This record gives sequence, C-alpha cells and structure tokens, in this order.
Amino acid sequence: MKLSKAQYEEIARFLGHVQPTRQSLRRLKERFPSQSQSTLLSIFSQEYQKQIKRTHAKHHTAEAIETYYQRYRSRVMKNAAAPVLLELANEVDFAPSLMARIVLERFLQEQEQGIPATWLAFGNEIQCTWLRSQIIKFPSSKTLINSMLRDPSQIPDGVLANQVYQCTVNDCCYGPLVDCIKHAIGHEHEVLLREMLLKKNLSFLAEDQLRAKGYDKTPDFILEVPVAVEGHIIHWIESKASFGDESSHQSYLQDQFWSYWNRFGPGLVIYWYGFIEELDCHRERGILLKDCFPTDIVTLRHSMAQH
Amino acid sequence: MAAALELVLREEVAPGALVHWLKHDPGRRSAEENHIHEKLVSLSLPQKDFVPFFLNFLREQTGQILTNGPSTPAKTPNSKALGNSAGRGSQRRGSERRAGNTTGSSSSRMQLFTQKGSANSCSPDTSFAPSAVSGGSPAFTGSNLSSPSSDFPSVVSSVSPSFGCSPVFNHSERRSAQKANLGNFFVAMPEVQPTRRGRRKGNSSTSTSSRQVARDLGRCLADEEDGKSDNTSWSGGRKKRNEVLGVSASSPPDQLNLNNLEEFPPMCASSGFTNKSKPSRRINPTPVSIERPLSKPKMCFTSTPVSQSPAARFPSGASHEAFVTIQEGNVASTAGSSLQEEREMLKKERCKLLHQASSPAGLSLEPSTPTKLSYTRSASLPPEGHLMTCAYLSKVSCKKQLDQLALLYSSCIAENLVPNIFLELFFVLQLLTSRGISAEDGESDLEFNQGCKGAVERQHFHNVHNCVYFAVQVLDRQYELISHLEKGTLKLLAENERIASFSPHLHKRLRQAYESSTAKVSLLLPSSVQSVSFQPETDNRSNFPSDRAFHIFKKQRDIFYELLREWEDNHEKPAWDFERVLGNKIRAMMAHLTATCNHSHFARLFQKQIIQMCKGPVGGGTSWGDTPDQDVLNMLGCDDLSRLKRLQERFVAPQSIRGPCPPPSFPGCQQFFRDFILSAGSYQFNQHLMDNLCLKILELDGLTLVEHEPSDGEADMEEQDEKKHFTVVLMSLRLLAKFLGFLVFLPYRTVEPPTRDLHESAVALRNQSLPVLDVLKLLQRAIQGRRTILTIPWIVEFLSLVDHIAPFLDYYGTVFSLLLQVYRWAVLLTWYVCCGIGIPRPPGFGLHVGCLPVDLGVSEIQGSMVPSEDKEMSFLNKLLILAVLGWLFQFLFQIPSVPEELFFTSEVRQDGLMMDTMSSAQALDSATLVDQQLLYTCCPYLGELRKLLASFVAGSGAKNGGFIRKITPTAAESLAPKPSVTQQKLQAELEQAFFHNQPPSLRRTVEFVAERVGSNCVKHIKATLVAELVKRAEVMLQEKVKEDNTNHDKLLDEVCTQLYEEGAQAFLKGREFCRKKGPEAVRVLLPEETSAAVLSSAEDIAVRLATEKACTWLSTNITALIKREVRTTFSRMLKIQGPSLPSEDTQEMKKDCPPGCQHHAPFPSEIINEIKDVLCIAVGPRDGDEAIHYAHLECLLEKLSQTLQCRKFMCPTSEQQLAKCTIELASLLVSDRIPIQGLELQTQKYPERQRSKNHPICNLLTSLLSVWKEDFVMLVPVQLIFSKKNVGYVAEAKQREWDLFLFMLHGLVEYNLMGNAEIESYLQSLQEFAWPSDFLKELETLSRVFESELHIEELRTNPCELVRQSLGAVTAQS
Repeated sequence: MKLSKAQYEEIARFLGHVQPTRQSLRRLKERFPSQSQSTLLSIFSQEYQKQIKRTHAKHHTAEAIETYYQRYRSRVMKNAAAPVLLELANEVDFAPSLMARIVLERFLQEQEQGIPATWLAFGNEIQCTWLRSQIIKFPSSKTLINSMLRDPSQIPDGVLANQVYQCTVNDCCYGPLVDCIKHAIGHEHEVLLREMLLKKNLSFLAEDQLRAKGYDKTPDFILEVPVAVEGHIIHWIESKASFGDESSHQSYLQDQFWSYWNRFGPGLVIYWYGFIEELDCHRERGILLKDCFPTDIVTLRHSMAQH
Repeated sequence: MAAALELVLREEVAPGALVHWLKHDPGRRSAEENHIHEKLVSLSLPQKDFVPFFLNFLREQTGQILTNGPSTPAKTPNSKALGNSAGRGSQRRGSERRAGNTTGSSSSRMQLFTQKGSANSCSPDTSFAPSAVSGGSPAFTGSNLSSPSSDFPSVVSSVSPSFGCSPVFNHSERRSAQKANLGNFFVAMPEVQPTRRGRRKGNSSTSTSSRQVARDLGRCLADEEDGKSDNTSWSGGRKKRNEVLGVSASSPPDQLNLNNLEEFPPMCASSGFTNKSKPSRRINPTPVSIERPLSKPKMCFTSTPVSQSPAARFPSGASHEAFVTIQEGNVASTAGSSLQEEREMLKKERCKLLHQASSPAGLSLEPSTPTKLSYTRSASLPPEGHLMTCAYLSKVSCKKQLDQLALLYSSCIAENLVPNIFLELFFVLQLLTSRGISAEDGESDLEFNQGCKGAVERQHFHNVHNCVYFAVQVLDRQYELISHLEKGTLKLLAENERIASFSPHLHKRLRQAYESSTAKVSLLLPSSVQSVSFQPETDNRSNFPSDRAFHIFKKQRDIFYELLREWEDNHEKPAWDFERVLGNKIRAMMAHLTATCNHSHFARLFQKQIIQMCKGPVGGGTSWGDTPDQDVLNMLGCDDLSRLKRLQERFVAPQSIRGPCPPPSFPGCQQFFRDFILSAGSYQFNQHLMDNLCLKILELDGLTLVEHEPSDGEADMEEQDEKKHFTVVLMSLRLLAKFLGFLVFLPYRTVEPPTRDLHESAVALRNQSLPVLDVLKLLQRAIQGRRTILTIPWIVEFLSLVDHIAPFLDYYGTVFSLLLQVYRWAVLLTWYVCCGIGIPRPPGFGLHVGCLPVDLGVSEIQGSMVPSEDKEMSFLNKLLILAVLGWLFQFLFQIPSVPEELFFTSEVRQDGLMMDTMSSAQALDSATLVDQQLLYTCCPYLGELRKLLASFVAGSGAKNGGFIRKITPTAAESLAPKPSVTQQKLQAELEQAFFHNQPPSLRRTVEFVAERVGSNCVKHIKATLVAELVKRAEVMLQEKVKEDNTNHDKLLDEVCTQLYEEGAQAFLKGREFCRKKGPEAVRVLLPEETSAAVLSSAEDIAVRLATEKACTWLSTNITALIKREVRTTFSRMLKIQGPSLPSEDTQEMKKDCPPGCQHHAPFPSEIINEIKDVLCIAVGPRDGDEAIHYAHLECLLEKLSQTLQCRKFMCPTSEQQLAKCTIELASLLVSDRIPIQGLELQTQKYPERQRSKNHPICNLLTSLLSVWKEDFVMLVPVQLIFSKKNVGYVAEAKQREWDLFLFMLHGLVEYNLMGNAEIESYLQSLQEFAWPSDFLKELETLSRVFESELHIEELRTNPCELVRQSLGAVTAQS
C-alpha cells in the first residue's frame, strides 16, 4: 500500500511517543482503520526504533545503568510479581527488551565479577569512577546475554527471569521474539516472491546461489533473463517485508540498492508493507519500487510466446 | 613561389607538371630523371614552400568575397602561440571572441599559413608579448624589403632562430636563415631577401593585413627594383585590399575610384605617398582593439602573435599610423584619407555591430565556435535584402586562370599535398555558397587588374561569379570524394542551384549520386546498460589478497558509482564544481585504494565504465537519458523507432559540433572520467589505468575479423557483421587511446608554452625515456600488415593530446612523419585515378608510388610489395584515415611552435612503405569496413559541410542562424499510443539487458552462433532449395529452348519469374534451419552448467538473430541469386547445350509439503505473533478483564498444525521459535495462567467429561502434544518444560491443581516425546531447587510415579493402560 508523504507523516505524528506495547498498537489500528495492520505495525516499529536510536546513548551511561538496576532491585524486593521491569522501561521511555538487557547485564556483572550494587551507591568518588569504568570495560559476554534473553530460563535468578520474559514478550518492537517474527516475515515474503517468480516462469538466481559464486553484494533474486516492469528493465528483485519510509529507504539505497545497481544494473524493490510514494523517484535511473508483485511484466518475447 | 604560380597562371607550365614537381624528391633522383618541367627546375625553389603559399594565395584572393559561414579555421591568421597554451577551454571569453570575430571577419579567414615567428619566444604572461620580438620586424622588414642590406639584422636573426627552434628537425636549423619567420612557406625564392619574411611576419601579426601577404609578395616581386620604402609598400598592399573591401562595403563608386591606381597604387608602388596621406587617426574601432588572443589560435593553423599594441610594433609614427589603418582595414578604406570618410566607416561599423546584436539567433550562440560564425558573417554582410548575390556563369572573368588554379588546387587536394583535405573542401563550399557582394558588374576584369604586372597578383576572385566558378570546377574534379559524403550533404549539393547553373554535368552526377546513395548517417547510437556488471571470475574474493582488500573494493565500487550519479545529477547545474564537490571524496577513495593496493581492480572498473558510457559518438551527452521517453514516444506516435531517433538527433546532434576542426575534447560523460583523473591526482591510479588502457588497446588493436570466404552470396551479410564489429572496436580504441594520451602527456601539460631553453632541455631529457605505449611500432606494424584503418584513427586520438614538447621528441617526430607518409601515400594509390583529373602525367608518374621503404631507423620491415590495384584500401577507409589525419595535422599546427614543416617538409619521401602479404582477414585495409556512418561518427566535424550548405539554402542565414531544420509535424490522429513501438523498444532493451550480467563470453557465443548459423542457413538454402529450383529451371529451359531458340533473355526471365514464388519458401526453410541449428550450437558451446532459462534465452536470441540475418539476406538476394544461378546453368547448358520460436523451458518444481498442499496455511510469522499475543496476556500485565477465548486457542492450535505441515514458508528460526513458544504456552496452560473465556461452555458441551473441569485444557494440551510429535520437523526441546522458570509457573499455580502437569508429563511419554526415565531424572533434579513445600512433595510423588512406570514399562505392559492406572493412583493420593 503506497502512502503519500502526508499520510505517512500523519501516522508518524500520531506515534509520537507511544510505548511499544500491544495496547498502543491497538490504538493505532483504531485510529487508522483503513491502513493494513502490517503496514501500521511496520511504521510503528520503524518510528519507535528511530526514537530509541535518538535516546539510546542516554540510557547507556554508567549512571543510568546503575539507577535502573537499583530501582529494579528495590521494587522487586517489594513485589516480585509486579511487572517491575516493564514499568521501569515505560517510565523512562525505553524499550522493555532493551531495559531487560541493561538490567540483566548489570545483574550478571554483579554475579560474575562480584561488583556489588551497593558499591556504587556508597563508595567514594574514586571507587565510583573506577567501578564505572569497569562496568563499561567489561561487559558480560554478548552471546551469553543474548542467549539468556532468548531463553530466560537460563537466568539464574528466577524473578529476574520472569521479569525479563515479561519484557521481551510484551515488547512489540525489540527483543528476540520480535526479531524472530521479523525474520520469519522476511523469509516468508522471499518465499512468496520466489513462488510468484516461478509461477511467472521467470528464472532467477537466489541469494545463496549468488553467494556461492562469490558475489560481494547479493540481492534476493537476480533474474537470469531480465524482464521489463512497467516499461523499466529490471535485473534483480529485492524483497523488503517492511514499510519503506524515508530513512530506511535511504539507508537501503546506500547499502544495498545502489550497490546492486552498480553490479547488476537496474532492479525492482518490493516493499510488501508499502512505501512512501514520493520515494519512488529513481525509476528512470534504475530502481523501481512496488508494494506487490508486479503485474505488468514483459519478458523477452521468445520465452513468452511459448506459453 | 609566386614565380611558380605565375608560370601556371600563364599556362607556361601545366598544373600537373607543377604537382609532379612538388612531389618529386630532389634527394633521390635528378630533376631530369623525374621529368620535371625545366622551367620549374630553373626556378630552383624549395617545393615544400609552394603549397602553403598557394593555399594562402587562395585565401587571400577570396578573402573579401567570403562572407558566408564560419571561416575555415585554418585561415585564422594569428598566433598559435596564444592558442594552445591558454586557449583550451575556459579561457575563451566572449569578449575575446567577439573582438576576434569582428577583426577577423575578413582577415581571420585570410591566411592559412602565417609564420609562427615568435611562437617560441618566452614571455609567458601574455600571449601577445612574443610579438614584441616580431613586432618590430614588420617595420624593419618593410625597410629590409626594399633594401636588402637590412638595417636591423640582429633583430631579424634573433627572430629567425626562435622560429626554427626545433633541434629535432635539423633541417630547420640548416635553413634557419631562410625559414626564419612567417614566411617560410611563402618565401621560397632565393632572390627574395630573407628579411622580407620579417615584414611578412608583421603582416600576419596584424590580423587584418595577413591576407595580403601573397599579393604583397607578388607585387614585391614585381616591384623589387623600385626600392621604395616598405612601409609604404606595405600599406599600399593594404590599401589594395581595402579597395576591394570598399567596394564590397558598397561605398559609392563616384566617391572614390578604388581602382584608380594613382590613388590606390598596388602594394610596393605607392612609396611615401600613402605614408603622407595617412590620416592621423587614433580611433580604434572596437572590434579591433579587443583582441582575442586566446581563443583564436586554437583554430589556427600556424601562429603569429597578434594584437600587440600598434605602438609597440611600429617604431616610427608613420608606420604606426599605417598599422592603425590596417587594423581597420576590413572596414575602413584608408585610401579615402579624409576624416569624413573615416566617420562613415565607423558608422558602418557600428551599424554592423548593432545588426549583429539584433540577431540573437545567430550562430554565435553555438557553443564554443572559435570560428566566430556570426560575426564573420554578419560583419561582412550587407544589411538584409541583399543577402543573396546571384552568380552567373556569363559573368565569370579570367576563366582560363581560374581553370588553371582549379586544376592545380584539385591536384593538390587529390595528391594530399594539403594538410587537411576536408578543410579545403569546406573552403571550396564556402566559395560555392559565398554571398559576398561582387565588384560592379560593369567593371571589367582588365580594369580591375590593371597595372598588375604578374598574373599572380591579379584579382581572380573579386566577384561571386568567379568564386562559384572556381568552386564548381574544383568540386567537379573532386566528385569522387564528395559523392562519398553522406546523403544529406549530397542532397544539398544536388539541389544547389549554383552548381546546376555552372555545371549541369556535375549537377547531374550529384543527383545520381544522391539518388543512389544509401549513406544515411545518424549520430546517435543505442544506449546500453550503465553499470559494469559484477563478474565473479574477476571480481570475487579469490581475486583479492585479503578479505579486507575485497571488502574495501566492494565499498570503492559503490562509492565510484555514487560519485558518478552525483555528477550525472548535478554537473550541468551552473554553480556545480567538480573538484569542489567531488575532489575530496575521490581522494579519500584513492587513499583507501592505496592502502589495500586495489588500484588495478579499480583501474579495470574505471576503464570498463569508460567504454560502457562513452562509446557513443556524442560522448553520451544525453547519457542515461538516451532512450527517448515513453511519453514522448507515445505523443509523437512514431510508428518506428528510427524515425524518432532521427528526429531526436536533429535536435541534439548537430548542435554539439564545433567548427570543421574542433580541438580534441572530452564531451559528455568523458568529462567525468577526465575530471576524475585530475581530481584523483594519484600516481598509482594513473599508472594502473595506463597499464590497463594499454592492455585493452593492444587487445583491441589485434582485432581479427572472422575470415570469410569472399564467395558470392553471403559476403554481403558477413560484411555487415564485420562492419559492426569493427565499428565497435574502432570506437572503443579511439576512446581508450584518447584517455591514454591524456594520461601519458598529462604530467607534461603546461598552460603556457615552454620557453626555448626549457624547451630544449625538456626535449633532451625526454628523448631519453621510453614511451608508455609503443605507438610507433604499432603504427609500423599496422602499415606492414595493412591494418591502418584500425590503428591510425586511435593513434590520432592518442596524439591529439600531446603536450607542447612531445612533437619535438625524436620518437613522436618519427611517428608524425610516418603518419605524414601514410597521409601522402593514402592518396597515391587510387585517388588520382579516381578523381579522374586530367593532369598530364609524365612518364613514370604514378608508377613509383607504391612501395617506399620506411626509413625510420627501424628498418626490419621486410618484404615489399607494390599494392596491386584490387588489394588496396577501400575508398571510404581511406577517406576516414585522411579525415582523421587531416584533423590531427590541422590541430597540431595550432600548438605553438610545432613547425609546419612537419607537414610540408619535402623530406617526406614517397618511396616506400612496405607491407606484407597478409591473409585477407588480417589486412583490414582492403576490407570495406568504413561506411559513412562510421566516418561521420569518428569525424563529426565533417557535418560542418552540410551545415554550410544548409545555411546557404536557408537563405537569410544571418538572421535565423542559418541552419533551419525542417521538422514535419506528425499528424494528430497518430497521437494514440502505439504499444507496439514501446514493446519493440522494450524487447530490444531486454535483449541488451539480458547479456549485461552474463559473462561476456555468452554474448560472443550467441553472436557467433547467430552469425554462423545465419550464414550456414543461406548456404544450406543455396545447396538445397536453390539447387533444386535451378534443376527444375534447367528442365524447363531445356524444353523451352527447343520450342523457341531466339530470345534467351526473355526465356530466362519467364522461367525465373515462375521460380521466384517458390523462392519464397526459402524463408520458411531458413527459419526452420535456424530454429533447428541455433539451439544445438548454443547448447554445445555454452558451459554445461548454464541454467535452463539462460540457455533457452540465449538459444532464442541466437535463433532470432540468425533468422533475421538469413531472412534479411534472402529477402534482398534470393531472386537475384536464383536468377544468377539459373543464368549460369543456362549458359552452361547452352554451351554444351527465415523470427524465432521459443524452445521448451524446463520447469523446476519445489519439493516439500504434504502431497496436494495448497500452501494456504497461515504464515509462521502470523502464528508466532498470535502466540506472542497469548503469551503477553498470560504473562501480563493485562487490562482488567482481558482474556482469551477457548475457541481462539483451539483455532490457534489448529492453525499451528497447518502451518507446520506446509513447509513452504517455514524456516528454521521460525520453527525453533514456534517450538519454544508452544512449550511456553503449554507451561502456562498447565499452570492455569492463561485467562480463558468459555471454559464452562466447553465442559457443558461434553457432560460425560464433567468429572474434571480441566478436560478442555487437556484437549488443548493433547493438541499441542500431537503437534510436537507429528508436525514439527525439528526436534522439539520439550525438556524446557522442566526449566526452573516454567516449573515455577506450575509451582505458583493458584489452585494447586497439578493434575494437568501430570497429564502433560504422561502425554509426553505417550507421544513418545520423552521417556519415563528422562522425565524422572528431570523431576529429580528439580527437587534440588527451593520450592514451596507442598510443591516439593508433589515433585517427589511425580518422580515416584514415573519411576514405577519405568518398571512397568520394562515389563512391557500397555503403557496407556498404565498411565490411566497411575493417574488414578496419583489423584487418589492427592
């Protein structure tokens, strides 16, 4: 579904500072009933990510980390069953999954390196400085944390495990579950696309085949025999199971689409969840945007005549 | 020199004899041996000086009449010194141009060869400064002229060496005294004092006066004894010209009698008279005072610094005045000598300026027209109304002399004695189309030329009639040449009424040539895909030393294209500056390349991209917008693409050309690459790029065309392929060579020409180093191998970028002289014969032409052979070589201090370029490879000829710019979009695109197959169908001959006509043949691994191309073929008596999924999402009454099952996540954490199960178990149920109802997901954690249950039975 820039901005404005919960999502759907849910979710997610990117740093200072951890601890002491971590995240406008990560990381530091939480709170300035540097310098292993976030059962502290799980399940923009859903969606659309290509009898090389050949940049599909879509020749098709907003499109152009163009010539990008109409401005030069599989396909006539 | 010309004009010596004399080599054989006319021998003049003299003579003579069109650049008189140093590019300012234009209106076209005089002298700051040196000379020379013992010998001598200046050309040293300055061409006669040259230099340095030179010379010759002051004689000469101008400027005849020799004595005659009569005027008409030093020289042939302030030049006041007058000479008649008259002149001048200003559409708008078209024209044009002067044959005077001149001139052209034949042709066309106002009709020739002692000084071209007559005469003799011009030019020539009236014969021939010409030229080539495709063989990781290098290059490629796109978007915006915007980015990129030593990769990419983007003739000016817009297409309703293309090029192409001799440039996209190189400023990159270019050039230069048996039929067809291939290779070579030349000479480039000292030392230094690419060897090889048609055009491109010094290096000197030999020699073979000029040929003339040893120190060339008539170069091949060489010579002369000797040297020996006998495939020269399309593509400036003619037709050229393009509007009804066109275009583009990402070998293979199969197809058809037809014809003929033995021809026709219809079968058969053979061949030739789709597309394209080829040939030739075959058979008898059809595409089917799966199951992502929502609600926080409906859960599990069954959209991560989530879900269900609506309903539905209200949940659990067991492909990590967290849910279950947990555990066993032992051990280990005591007890019990079950299992009882039993037991216990 193509949105005009104005339409898109209306949605983005509405999203302003909402929290990434299913409640927000519900409200969004109610507000824009004419838009498809996936489109809304995608925009929501992207807008939220932009917001998080802006504020990411301030949540990662040693002071902030320490504060969050302390707060978490004291509240959990009071009521372990309450959604402490989730509420904490909402209070400071941070993604629950990311908050969970911060607290978990800090928790592990305390466990492994024996940095007691009280030190920072009560130590002298020199100690504090040293400790802060330690906290920043020696993060727990990323893989361990990721694995714990994926499966909170591994977290030694039962309460924290439940808290973390609650965060990751409730977060609709970040977290392993969301990542997985995104991944699945991406995959599914690639499969869909592949199906459509096969149905249209368009022969292609898929990413893995290309990689095996040693290509340095690989779109999802390279058409072995190019076709013309709406009068534009395309050599490759990239499937994007997201909404094409300005910033994501720009970075895709930079990192992917132009690179493909540089190597394989003009191509087609399908934003399955739609895109801002105005972004489709490189058609002449060789990057075509669509929000669905194109219908107007012209193939080299020889191969068409046989069907 | 004048003496020689005089002999011809007096018809004492035939022009042919003169030409013969010009060509004979004094060093080799004596004059007698060479049959040189004794009168010429007696003159003992250096031959080399004659042609420049003669050309200048013609310019001089025609000066005032030539008002039309741009001046031939060669004729701009002045200062090459200024020219090339600064003139390139931006320096050319409007003001300069304007000034130059106005001055030059008549003068600039006058002199072809002025002396270069002080070109080498050293003042770098102003280009005029050199003339300070020479500036003096006019004055002295003047005096010297009359008094042989020069008053200023030192000055003169100081000038001369500076002129000769090249140590390389030692002859110049030898003759330095003579050749000293300007005149080395003119001044030939020994009795003429060398000093005169100094004066002449003065002339030429004043732009206006220069054209006078030849005439002056003539006069001087005649008047030498008079010993009059040269100042006066000089101005006298001036005046003489002014007379003519005066006339043309329509000053009333009664006012002044310009022809009065008393008042306007011819050059040397006037002495002090003029001197005194000079008014003391200081007013410099605007155009004169602003010189145009920088731009002009670009175009000019030789150089003389001009436009020094008069004062500096003239030591005496008198001469100063003379000079001023001269400067105004083109407008003002000095002879009038009254102030009143001068005012008149000024008025007129102003009027002209206004006139110019009022015609904004004038040619001056054309970009960088150094030839200053508009000014030239309008300045000398009378006000509108008299634009056309009719030319009448009857009014031609002194025909005989004109005939002689025309003959001589034609011979010079025909013999390639002129540096650029097309320039001469342009000049001739200028004469043909001249609109100058002639002298009053009543004036007789006699009167006009009264008092002229020699024929040379007579005005032969004082009116339009004479000019046209001369032009037509020359054209007639150059018919062969002009008949090879493109069709549009021919049309204009054929329609030219002057030609029609002056020479009906030529007119008729031109008409015929036009009608039979097929030489349509289009200057736009089809566009191609723009990026260089990634080819794993050269670009993948294994081609890089490290991952880092690979990765960095990946980035560089992207950055490079980013820069390219930025340039493309912005470079035409006014304030955009390449260096400012891209410079740093480029250098940063270079730094990265250096860090990883990736230069070679990048150089290759760069080179490929150059070829990709710039191959087109207009340099890709429109670049990626090349293909016309879809909307435009539809709007125009063009029914075919070619029409649109023609229309487009009318808009685009002609405007981009600049004068008949434009300097080398980097048009369109080439500009990007040039600027990139400059901004990068990377030594490493340049070196790699040069290596790369050299390699590619060598590769392409080695082109061999597919050898074809020149057998009757298909020669035609194969020729076409070869031509196409050749064109592509040639264009690429030229492009690459230009860039190579740019790079090679880049380090030596200077804005100003070096001073003489620097020059000498630079030459000495650089003579020591080896050239980057041995063009000399390549050239020699090309000559030997008779492949010059391929090699010379690119060598010319390469050399066109030489710096100031390079031409003086031994190496390049040799190259130039070799090129010159080729140039001369290219003619000798046929041209002479072709032209059919009636020059009497002395015995032996034209016979010794063939083989001359290349005596260049490299004499390994062996084996000589006189090229026989039939093996020599085809006409158009030669024409191309001559055109590019002519352009090069012309251009080189604009480099300051490049001596014209380079061209006019008599040392060009005409005895011996040798060549090998080569196979026909190697010897490209003899193949007909060049057509007009290629000729005009390589030499777009040839189009100027057409423009000139067109502007003549247009009539009031000055007003509307002269070049009216007629565009027929398309009919309104055709506005409806015609998809067929776009479809057609799209198909063509698709085909091009198809090859883009394939390895290049694929395309080569397909093209090769198409070519061979097409050719074979024709052969096949000849062997089968035609042979069969011929057999039948034989039978028919035999019968008919018996009946009627009289009219064989008629008989033959009858039979053939009958056969033609059957001949149509050839298409069907041809098509069939191609369809059968094409795919076979493609399949065999392409790699086994080629994918089916690619293979089939390749096959289809090959088949289509082959079919097209065959059918095209058949359609044009089949009838002729049948006829010919039948005729041969018949005469023997008398003696004794087609698009492709697609092939099958193999379909690839996907596996997976249960049979008959429609893939309609929900996507995994949806399911995960739904489960996530359930989990959210279960885990909380949730809004007050939030709950999940039981049916929803049921349905969810159902969908889950479907999703898992259909494998289409499943990926491992999805499945993994589903497994995890469902286990989570199960744990939550078991621990009653999910608020479920409608449970009661469920229990009511199944009253028999009322025993346990938990039954509905058991159902859900059972579904889950079943899904885990049946639907997951991966192993489900069911042990996660025993994780502390999940068990924790159970422990916290509010109602302490753990039977669901037990149910679950049993289910696991039941569904074979876990063994009893496993469960037991998990339960055991769980007991180690701190649980509430009651739960701990529960765990113990459970543990025991499974222990016992383990025993029972060992007893091999029915497990289901046992579960039920134990369940009962457990519930009883709790």
